[in-house]
Amino acid sequence: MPINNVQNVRHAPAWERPTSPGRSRQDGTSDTFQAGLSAADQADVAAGQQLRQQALQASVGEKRGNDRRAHLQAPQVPAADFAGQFAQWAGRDSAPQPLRSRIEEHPGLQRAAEQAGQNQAVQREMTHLVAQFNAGNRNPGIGSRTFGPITELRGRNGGRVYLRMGENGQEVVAKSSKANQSQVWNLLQRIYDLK
Amino acid sequence: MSQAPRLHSWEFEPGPFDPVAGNVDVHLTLDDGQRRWCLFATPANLSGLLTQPAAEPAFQSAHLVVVARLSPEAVESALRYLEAEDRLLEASFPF
Repeated sequence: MPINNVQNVRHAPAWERPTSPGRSRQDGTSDTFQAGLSAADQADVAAGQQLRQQALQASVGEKRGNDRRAHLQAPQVPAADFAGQFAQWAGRDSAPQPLRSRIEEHPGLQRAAEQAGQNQAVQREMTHLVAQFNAGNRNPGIGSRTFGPITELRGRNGGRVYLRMGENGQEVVAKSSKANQSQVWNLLQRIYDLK
Repeated sequence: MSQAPRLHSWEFEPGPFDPVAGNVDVHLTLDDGQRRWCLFATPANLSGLLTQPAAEPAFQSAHLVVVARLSPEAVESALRYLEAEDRLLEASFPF
């Protein structure tokens, strides 16, 4: 084999090299393996371990239920996965169903939700309300209200998220800000025959 | 002489609320045409918000007005008090 190939192997990051199956841990590291490395190679190993850990954290949502400790070590996860992790952390058997949006089924409510979202503080608040609800907090913000089939999640900056129980759990049917709350309320009254 | 706008009218936000243990937004119209709002709450409501499961550790709002009961009379009285103190703008938030 040409010597260049040997050099290529020597310059490859140490953490990418194959390890003896009998000595490797689950994450591919081994005390014995590291003991024979130079300081630079050990730095590569550390970097590799860090990358591997980041990859584990990124995929933790898919592995929900397999490794409880991995969930606790993974603060940066997609919002959609948070509910499941929270429920597991809280010791529940199953995660609450994430909210589905049905706003787009009514053009007037869709326009109103888009208008409400133009205020960034309100948009953040509505997102936070939904995330809190998905995480199991049924009374987020300044407290929810129920009228007829509609539950209203309320934020202290005027953001409102309206839910209705559908066939597959709670669904988001409307959103509003203070600027169009009355308009959305009137639409909901007409659509859902609220008294 | 104060230049602060005066209260023209007010209304509760649409929807039901608990007058004893609830909170409700109050929508204001001032005599210069401004539309503003503030949050009225009772002590019982604030206590409940802070002690419920998954409660946030604090409740802070610059446009919170606390009254003993969320009756129209109590809200009217509170708003007139704030108006007399020239604190309507301070206690409310623009739409």
